[in-house]
Amino acid sequence: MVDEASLNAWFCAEVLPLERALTNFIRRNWRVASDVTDLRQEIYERALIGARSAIPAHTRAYLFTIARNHLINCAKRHQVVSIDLVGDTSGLELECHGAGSERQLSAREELRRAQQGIDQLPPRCREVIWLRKVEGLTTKETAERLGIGADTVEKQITQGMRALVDFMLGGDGKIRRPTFARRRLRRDSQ
Amino acid sequence: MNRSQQIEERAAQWLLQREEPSWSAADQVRLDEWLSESDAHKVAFWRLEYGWRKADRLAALAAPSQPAARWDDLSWRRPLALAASLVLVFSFLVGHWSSAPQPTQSPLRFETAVGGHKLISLPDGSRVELNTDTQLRAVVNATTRAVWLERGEAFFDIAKQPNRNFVIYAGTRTITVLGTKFSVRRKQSDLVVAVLEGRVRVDAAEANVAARHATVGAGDVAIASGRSTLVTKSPEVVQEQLAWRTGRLLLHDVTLADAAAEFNRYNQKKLVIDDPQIASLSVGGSFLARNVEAFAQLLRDVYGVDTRHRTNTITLAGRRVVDRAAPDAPKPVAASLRATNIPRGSQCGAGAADCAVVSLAPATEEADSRAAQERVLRNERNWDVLHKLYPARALAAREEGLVGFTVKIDARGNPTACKITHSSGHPLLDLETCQLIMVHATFKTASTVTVSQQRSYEGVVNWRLPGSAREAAPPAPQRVAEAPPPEELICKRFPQTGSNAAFERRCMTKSEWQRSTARTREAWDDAQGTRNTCQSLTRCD
Repeated sequence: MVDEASLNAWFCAEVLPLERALTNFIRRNWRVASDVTDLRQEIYERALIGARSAIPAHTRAYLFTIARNHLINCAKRHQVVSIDLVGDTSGLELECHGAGSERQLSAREELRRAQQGIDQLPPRCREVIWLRKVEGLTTKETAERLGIGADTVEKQITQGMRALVDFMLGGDGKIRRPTFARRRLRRDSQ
Repeated sequence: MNRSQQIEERAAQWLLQREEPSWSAADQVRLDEWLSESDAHKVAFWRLEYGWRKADRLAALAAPSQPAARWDDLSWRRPLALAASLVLVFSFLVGHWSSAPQPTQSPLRFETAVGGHKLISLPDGSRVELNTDTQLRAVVNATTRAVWLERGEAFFDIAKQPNRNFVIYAGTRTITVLGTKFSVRRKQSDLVVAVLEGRVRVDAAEANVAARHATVGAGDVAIASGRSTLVTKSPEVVQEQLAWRTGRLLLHDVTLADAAAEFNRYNQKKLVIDDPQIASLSVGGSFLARNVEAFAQLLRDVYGVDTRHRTNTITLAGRRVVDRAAPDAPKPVAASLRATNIPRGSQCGAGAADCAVVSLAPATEEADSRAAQERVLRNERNWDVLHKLYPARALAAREEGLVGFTVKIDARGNPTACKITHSSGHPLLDLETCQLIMVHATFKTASTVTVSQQRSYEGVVNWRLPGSAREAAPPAPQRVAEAPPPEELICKRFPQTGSNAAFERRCMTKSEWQRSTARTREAWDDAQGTRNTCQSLTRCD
């Protein structure tokens, strides 16, 4: 058994830097674009469960093998097995032996990336994130300064945080607001 | 299919709440519970935590880069106005932040250890770069911008703010700034201010001293010592003073004692000078400040200074070769020498670290200036300068003579090949001369020479034993053997047998081609049996 702290360290240092490559891999091999984040989350989950017995020596190969198997399983479950889906996974080997240049961003690049990420947020969102991150204000202080409700601030920050994190890990950093259909779906299910 | 979105949202809320001051132990328990519910929760939370922490670097952006915009004009409640101009939003954020009254804070403290180097940005957008072993305090708020330099050296890049002077208190002086770039160094009781851009004012800090101030402009260096302040215009010295920002130490004709003191500022491993005689040696060059070993090795190789390495010190003792073997050797003035052990960089002169200009004349043995000048003139033409490097073996064998050589130089000024054009009559001495040049010489680079091109340099070293009579001036270098100018190469392509695509390329000089053609014709004629017979009826006699 691996304890939680080293599991967390492994996950942050080895798995998350691969997120960009993993997302691209899923996107290439799965037709429904809106499923990508869910699939990624499930792959992470499986990777974590597997690593609990022992930290894998080759994280990249490990993660992508899980990703492939998971995609195949999902495809079977959805009964949408298509030629191109299965055929494309043979390109996996190449992926595994790639240079891995996206693994670690240097500190300066990280700052530049964070700056880009915050720049491309919508204005309100950027403002609250800026107050939070750069000036270190709490939710309450932010709400007071901007003259808006604390729950609004909280909502903005969580949205901005998710987009920014996505951007920092190589995604497009867009805010994903639940669409109307989904919102209704959720309301129905509650 | 938005399970992951929901989890992520919840994780973001947890993360947010955890940052709040109201976060309690009970909250932590609830978070732990939520995390242990499912690995999906854990993964989402860790991912957000990781990325959010990475974005912490944003705090470095805290420097306002644009003038303050009016906060009141733009209300957050007017989203249209905000959306209309993203840039404006950005600037007003920054602007509001800088114009907001801040609580009176205790001074910020910054410190670097020996060998340290730190860049800090102050809340008003000014940046301060701390050199080794430096300590300063800073108070920056709406009304005051002040820094106390307790010790050491710092480079200031002050953000311009009208009506808000930036004041630096350093010992007996205060330095007042409006917005500029300059460095301040406290050297025991002295103060050195080197200004890169703009202007600063240096005042005496004591109240009872008559108001006396000096304005220091760009390219000026002010040295304040005791009650006097000396201002000199010298962009070179400013560059020297600022070389530490790139980790270098630029020394220009300073004594070895001073050079050692400079190195000791940056390194735990201290240089100790054991012999007062070598303390006054004159040294110059560009060095990596934290590479004291390389400097010591250079001293040993070039000066023949005895170096003894211990864990915390390098002791410099007397000179081996020079004192014993060549006491009367001519004293050349300056040579451009490359230390092989220093990491290679670009060419010498432009602040590069891979070469050191070492003046070889010990200050104590300074001859009268006229003779020195004469020698300088001569040295420009020949390589007397290498005399201090007189090979010990040749010295013992009492070999001397004139060695002419040609050096090939690459685009960076480093010699790539060396050839002897005139022998001294001692083959080993010739060889050693070439070795010395290859190891120690560096040449000025010409900007017109590209990387792939080469230049060559012809020179003469006149080795003279210390005791022997000296000529007034050694003969100017001359070409020893005049070779005929090389013939131009002519290249031709021949299709290879058995292939339509392959070609063979043959290059020969014109005379060789002629010979080759004649040979081919002869062979052909032999095969045909037409040798020495007439082939063309019309041309035959």
